[in-house]
Order: sequence, then structure tokens, then C-alpha cells
Amino acid sequence: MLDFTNQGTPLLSLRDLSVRFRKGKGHVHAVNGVDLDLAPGETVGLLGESGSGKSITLRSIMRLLPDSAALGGKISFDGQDVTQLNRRGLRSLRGAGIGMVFQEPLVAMDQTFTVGDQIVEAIRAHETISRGEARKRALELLELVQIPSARRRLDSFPQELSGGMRQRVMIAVALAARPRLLLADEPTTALDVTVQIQILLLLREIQREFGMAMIFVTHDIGVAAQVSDRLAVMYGGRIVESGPAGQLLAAPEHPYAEGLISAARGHRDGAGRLMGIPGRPPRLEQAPQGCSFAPRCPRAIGACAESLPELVATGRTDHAVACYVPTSRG
Amino acid sequence: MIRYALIRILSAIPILLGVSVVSFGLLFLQPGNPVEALLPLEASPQIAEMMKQQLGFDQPVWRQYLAWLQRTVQGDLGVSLYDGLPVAGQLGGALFNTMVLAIPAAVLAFVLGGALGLIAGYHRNTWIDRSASALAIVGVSLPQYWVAIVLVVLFSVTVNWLPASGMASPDGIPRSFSDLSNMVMPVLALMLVPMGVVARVVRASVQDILSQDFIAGLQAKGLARGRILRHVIRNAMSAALSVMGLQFGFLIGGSILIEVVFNWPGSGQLLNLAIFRRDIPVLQGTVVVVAGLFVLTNLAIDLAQAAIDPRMRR
Ligand SMILES: Nc1ncnc2c1ncn2[C@@H]1O[C@H](COP(=O)(O)OP(=O)(O)O)[C@@H](O)[C@H]1O
Ligand SMILES: [Mg+2]
Repeated sequence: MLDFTNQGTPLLSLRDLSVRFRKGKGHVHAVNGVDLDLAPGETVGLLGESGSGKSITLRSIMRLLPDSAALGGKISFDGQDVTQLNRRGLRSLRGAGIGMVFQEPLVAMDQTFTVGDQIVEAIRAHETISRGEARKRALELLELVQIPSARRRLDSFPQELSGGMRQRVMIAVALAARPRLLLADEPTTALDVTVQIQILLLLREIQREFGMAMIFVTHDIGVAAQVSDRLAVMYGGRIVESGPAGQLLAAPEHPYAEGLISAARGHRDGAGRLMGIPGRPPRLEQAPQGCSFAPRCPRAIGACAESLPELVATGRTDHAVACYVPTSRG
Repeated sequence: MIRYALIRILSAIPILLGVSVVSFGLLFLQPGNPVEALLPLEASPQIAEMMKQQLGFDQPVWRQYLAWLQRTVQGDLGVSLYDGLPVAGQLGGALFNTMVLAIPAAVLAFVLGGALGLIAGYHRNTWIDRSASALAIVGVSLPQYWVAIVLVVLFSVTVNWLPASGMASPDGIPRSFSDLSNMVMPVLALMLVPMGVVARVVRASVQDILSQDFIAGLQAKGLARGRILRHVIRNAMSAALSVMGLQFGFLIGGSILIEVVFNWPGSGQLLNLAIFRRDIPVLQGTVVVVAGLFVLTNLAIDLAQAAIDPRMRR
């Protein structure tokens, strides 16, 4: 197990989190034993290619999985066991404890309700205040997320706004009940670059101002580097490496993290081809026996395919890697 | 919204004109000269000629149409060939009687069908869904006249709780509990089909809505289930309204079968009699007014949909 004693009590802690979907006669093993700790006010960037289980990990924390999913392991938030919460406990966890920003604000919002109404109901779900009072607060929230002519926007519908504005509204909705943790699932992926940067800066600013912790999911290393204190790299439903953002980016230990980072830096091989990671992402029909990356790994040894490497401390500060042949030992 | 409403209202005008052309054209559907059809076989040619002039059949068709349209728009639907009474008055009374049944039937069908569909959609593929859906299918597939007769046999003949037929008060407006009892069976018989249709549409719509991402978005805000239900209902409303609009249109036409079985002097019966008596002005007037109301109902539904769901404002 990881030792994060230097960080005090974590706000959120995941232990051996697993999610399995029933699909036809078989299963999809989407998340396979994720361990993660998050200190109050800390931002972790969850990095990984599409299908690596990032969104499902976030949804597990909010207990927003479909009925076809079986959840295993432990999730504790603020000392509560999230997997044991009853309906009331869940209601206050969602929104008031943890806010969520979705990748596609348009599909995550009800297009038959105005922006104002959607924020107002998010406030009033956790606080007994009048509609008028809540509307005032909604306006403040829209101003907080820097929406121009915010008062007018209260009565707009989500589909009447631009992509960037929608994402700002989504953030306002997520902040409505002043959560202590914000889960942001690729909040900038659907936006063009300039808008992306604005939203990132906004999130960073708000997060500092509120002293909020954040898990920021992305498949873009550049984006992850900008916002995160710490990075966690996911592959095949597991965290394969985690550590302080600068340290991990400068000297990754896991061969997958290494490949990902050098591909993002645009490193080229001898023939001048862009270096990517050859091979395909793992199949998820079976729970992994050994390391899911072994079939694609340039450094794999016999043990890799036989048993799952645990996420263990590397010796560097807060750094952990799940690999039998990490760079530092290679 | 206002712009959309204006466009929508204006675009109903050509449809209404189309309706009027078809209604007017009904006259020419029967073989031969309309006048000949009216007169006894032994009538002399002079009388036929006189009648033709009197009724304007000697004019070119387009002039006949324009003259008819002008009168119709002014509310003059001519007089019945059968009893010489103004069609407008007869039709007004009949339509009113039909509405006395159609409105409660529509409201009940909408509310009950909506509730059934909602329950079924929320409990997809459970016994609750199957029972609710079975009820809806029974509703749409039982023949109306059969339901009517079974109701009469059960409630009037066997237990004698409800009157077998007829309107209790002369103007059709129920004033007492016993007046109301006359309406129970016809309303019940009329309601079943629209209820079933609404239930099925709402069920499918709710299932689709519940699988959409915004439901997770609502849950993530920590909303109570009742609050989420409001979102589901609002999203399902426009599908429900559009089928209900169609069904209400059918109800306005008046069910000939139900009105005959329960001896209810509504527009269905009037139409039935007009056909039987070859009473062209009554037939024409009924068709044009009922079809016009049908168009207007759907216009109202469109506007209601747009008010509820901004995505409809296109
Ligand atoms: N409802 C579902 N049923 C079955 N499989 C699912 C479902 N949702 C996600 N998955 C699978 O789980 C895996 C992880 O998905 P996800 O967490 O969305 O990945 P990402 O890292 O891109 O966010 C994917 O292989 C995906 O196909
Ligand atoms: Mg995702």
C-alpha cells in the first residue's frame, strides 16, 4: 500500500476500486484495482488514453454507475464509506460533497430548462433558501465563472450558448453547493485551444479560491501538466504510475508513462517517425492476470504476464509505480 | 418564441385552405349532378334547372368555391336539405355535445396514459412495466363498440348502476351526479384508445430519456428523485402532447359508433345522419369544421410543445 503519511488524512481515498460491467454473456473489466489518495485542496491529473477507465473511476466516486455495473473495493470521502451510503447520504455527497463537470456540457444538461433554473435547483437541493435568493446566488456563480452579461444568460437555454460558455455554466452548476472536491471529466476536450486555456485557468483560479480538491481527467499531457499538483497515469483500468506532476513528467518510471510522454513531446525515432506506442489497448473481457501493458511493453519480462505488479513507492517523494522493471531499476 | 408562434400560425393558413378545398370537393365525389342526386327521379327538368340556379350550380366551379368559402368563413354553412334548418346551429349543438364527452375523455386519457407510460418507462422490463404495457395494449386493441356494449351489459343490464344511453340534461351540460352518470360509460369507451396510445409513446420516450446523459448530470447535482421526475416529465411532454393532439382530433370528429350506441347527439351522429340522408350542406359543414378544428388543435399543440421545449422552436 502507498504511504502518504506526509499529507495528513486524505479527503478522498480509493482502495482496490474495481468496476465490472455485465455485457451480453460476458463482462467488461473497466476498472481493476485503483488506489488513489487525494489531500484537501490538491489537484490530481488522471491521465490515460481513451478507454482506460478514467470516466468510470470518476463515476464510481459519485456512485453514478449504471445498473449493469458491479462496484468493488473501498471509496471513502471525508471519512464516510461512499459504498455504504443510503439514498440521503448519496444526495448530500453529490453536489454538496463532490461536484462534477462533464465532458459534454450540452448532453449533461437538460435542454428544456434554462441555465438559471438548472443552477437554482442545484443550490436548492442542498440548502433551504427562497427561489429569489437562489437566483441571486446563481447570478453570482455565473459572474464567478466569468460569463459576460450574466443576468441575461440566466434565462438562456444551454443550447443557445457557445461551447466555452456552456462549460462555464457546467462549472457553475458543479460549484452551486460549494463542494469540497470537484471531479472534472475532460472538461476541455470538446473545446478549441484558446477556449481550452481560458477554462483551465478559470478552474485553477476557482479551485484555489475555494480551497477545493480536484481530480482532472484528461488524455492530454500538456493540459494535465498545467493544472495538476500530482499526476496519476491509468492503463487498462489501473493506475500504473503516480507522482508529483513535474517529477513524473521529467522522469517517468513506467514504460507506458514513458511512451505516452515521449509521444506527446513529439519525439521521433531514428527514421524520423513520430514515436508512439505500438500495439493495441488491452481487451477488457477478462480481469487482468499480469500487467495489461506487458504485450506492448519493450521491457517486459516473464513475470509481467504472470502476476499483477502492485503500485509501490519508488523512493522518490510521493512517487509510486506498478512495474517489475521501472526505469529507475532498469 | 413569439416569432415562432407567428410563423406557425401563418403556416396553418394554407393547410386550412387545403382543408376547405377538399371539403368543398366532397360535393363532386358523387356521380352525376349534385342536384339530380337531391331530387326525386320523376322531377321535371325545369325544376332541376331552377334548383341548379338557386343553389349556384350553374356557375363555374371556382366561383362556387369562393362564394362557399366566403360564406363558411362568415359562419354561414347553409341550410340542411333535410329539414331546412341552418347547418351552423345544428353543427354547433352537435359539436358541443361531442366536446362534452371528448374533453373529459382526452384529459383522462392524457393523465392516465401519461402516468401508465411513466411508471412503465421507469420500471423497464419488470413486472410493473409488463402489466402497465399490457393494460396499454388492451386499451388500443379492444374494438370501441365492443367495449361500449360490454360496459352497457355490465353496468346497465347486470347491475343497473348507470343509464344505458342518452343525455340526461337537454343541453348536455351535466349539473348533477345523475347527469354525470350518463357520461361515464361513453367517456370510458372513448378514452381507452388514446390512453393506450399515450401510454406507449410516453413509455418509449421515458426509457429513452432515462438512458440519456443529462440524467446523470441531474443526479450529480444531488437532486431528489421527485425533482428528477420533473425533468423526465418535461422532456417526455412534447412526445405525449403530439400524440394527444392527434387523438384529440379524432375525438372531436366524434365517434359514430359510441354516439350511436349511447344515443348521444354529437357530431359523429350528425355526420352519420347527413350521409344517410344525402344532406350535402350538413356533410360539408361538418367535415370542414371538424377538419378545421383538427388543424387548429395541432397548431395549439405545436405552440404548447414549443413553449415547453425550446428545441421545438425551429
Ligand atoms: N455502460 C457500460 N457498459 C459496458 N462497458 C462500459 C460501459 N461504460 C464504459 N464501459 C467500458 O469501460 C471502459 C472504460 O471506459 P471509460 O471509463 O469511459 O474510459 P475513459 O478512460 O475513456 O474515460 C471502456 O472500455 C468502455 O468501453
Ligand atoms: Mg472518458
